[in-house]
Amino acid sequence: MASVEKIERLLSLMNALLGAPRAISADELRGRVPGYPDEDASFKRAFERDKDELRDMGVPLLVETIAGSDPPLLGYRIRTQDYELRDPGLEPDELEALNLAAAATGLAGGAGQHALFKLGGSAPVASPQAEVPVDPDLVSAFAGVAERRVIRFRYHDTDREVHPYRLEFVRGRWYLNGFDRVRGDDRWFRMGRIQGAIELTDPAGAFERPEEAVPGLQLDPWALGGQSDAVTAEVWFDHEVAHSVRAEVPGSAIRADDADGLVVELTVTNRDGFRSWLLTYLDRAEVRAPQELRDDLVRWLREVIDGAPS
Amino acid sequence: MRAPRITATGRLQRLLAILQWAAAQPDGAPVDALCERFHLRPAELVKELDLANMINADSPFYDEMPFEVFVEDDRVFVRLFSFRRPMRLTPAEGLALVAAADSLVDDDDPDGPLGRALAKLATVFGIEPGQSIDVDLDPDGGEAGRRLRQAVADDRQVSFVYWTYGRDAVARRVVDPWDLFNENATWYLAGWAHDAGAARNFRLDRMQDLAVEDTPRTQPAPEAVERSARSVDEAPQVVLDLAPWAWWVAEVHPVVSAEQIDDQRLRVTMAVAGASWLERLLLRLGPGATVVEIDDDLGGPDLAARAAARVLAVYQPAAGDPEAAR
Repeated sequence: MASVEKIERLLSLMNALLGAPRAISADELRGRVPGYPDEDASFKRAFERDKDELRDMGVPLLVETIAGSDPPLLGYRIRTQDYELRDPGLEPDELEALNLAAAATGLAGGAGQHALFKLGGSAPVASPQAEVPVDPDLVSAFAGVAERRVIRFRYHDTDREVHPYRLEFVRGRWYLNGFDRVRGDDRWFRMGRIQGAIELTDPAGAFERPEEAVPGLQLDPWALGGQSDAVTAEVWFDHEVAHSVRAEVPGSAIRADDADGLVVELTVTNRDGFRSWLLTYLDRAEVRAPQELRDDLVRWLREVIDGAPS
Repeated sequence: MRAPRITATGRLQRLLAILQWAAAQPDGAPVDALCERFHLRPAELVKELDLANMINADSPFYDEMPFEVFVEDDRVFVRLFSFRRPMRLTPAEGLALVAAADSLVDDDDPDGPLGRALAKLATVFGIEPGQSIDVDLDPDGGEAGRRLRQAVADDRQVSFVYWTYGRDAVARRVVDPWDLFNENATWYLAGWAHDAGAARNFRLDRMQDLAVEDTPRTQPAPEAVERSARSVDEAPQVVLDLAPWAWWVAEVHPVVSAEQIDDQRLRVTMAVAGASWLERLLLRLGPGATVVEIDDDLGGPDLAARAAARVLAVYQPAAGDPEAAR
């Protein structure tokens, strides 16, 4: 269907439903909204598609039993208080600052532009200085945080049920903090490592946020999402890669730093993360202590050697 | 830059925004102001306004017309009978705005315009500013970014010690700097690498001992600087089967194709920047990745095993492959 006719039909439909004092049946809408096909089955399909389009736009379409109908008949309406934007009361300079921020971060397209239009901004066209990636899972996670809804997803081969508290974007990646109901503990999750999609569950307001601020993200791979007993590891790095290591470890972890190499002491609570991080340095790094971490690494390397095709 | 292609619902939302903004102007909205604001040509704007006038125009009930629009002396006058307020923000829109504002807000100046805007948005969404979402963008690439930008502006050569991850080599590089760009929140310098005699991209976080030289640039920037850190076309390829917990690999690295074979396996074809890069990935993934096919350029199917033997030699000098031991 041509775009113009579709817009016309959707707007008429919204106009009929918005602020309607009672729910309106599909049959009545068919008579009031121009542009629907005459044939019953085609009308049904078109009407279903329109409802989906409205919901995708964020229109709060309410489905309820029409008062006084017998037998009970379902109808539709949009309550004004659900539909209308709560005016944040932005001053002109605040709106301008938002416009510039959206343009600078590459968020002026798509959702960011629609949002600015609604707020009365203009979404200036500018080439962004940096890109913040936004995908559907992130939107679900944000909706979970904002509306306090439980989210479900699969992570490291385990199904999780999480009270989402906080999203953080650091060094090019999004992280989610929340209370993992299955494990009964607070956790950080790396969004890119969620397997499949995030499922957003009803109802809203399903949990209380913690009264104390969520502690900031500890990005260190040897600690992020940690779940094992803490162990102190002593690691040596080749002098040639010392610069990269210094950028990744806290200054207080450094024990020696000279031509013989860089030696650091780290508190490891995530052994998988520690191993994975260490292996990015190939043979330019060595765990010196404790023996159990050396053994872990040796076992892992042997597995790679044994598992290789001959 | 014009928006590439707008969907029907996107156009509907834009139309409502046009009408609501025009209706709010006490003396009508000048046509050119509307065009500029919504990035439309005058003819396109007229088409949108005609569309608005068509809604329910044939309805037997006058009161079902949601808007009345007319243009006089290059001004647009709109009366709204319905849709008086914009629609609430969707989570996607809220996220886009809050993330943009949070990434640039100056933590030391919460009372600046952006800080105040963020606080007001947070109230609308029922979140805590800085508590529920935090975006750290590093908007200019730090100290190195500022010095490199200055070198570009001053037309000067730069040099730095660089760790080439793909080849696992560390060396001092001399570069004619052309441009800085950001991809996936990592800053890169694009320029002419004198030792390679070719254009190259360098990650700022892998540079050390950066020096701005007195020598002027010799290689002028081409008209279009290649601003992508990834050139997938010519790179050698590998085909991997990934276990579910390793599927993230397909999302954070450029893949040529990905196909789910069954519940347990995702088969990905990836372009590889260098053999050493692939060695690291395979060592980190361990049993989570199986090599299905690999270009000979990358070292063949036992690439990971040989790399593992090399690292193992650090721990057990006698047990490792004697040729790979240092």
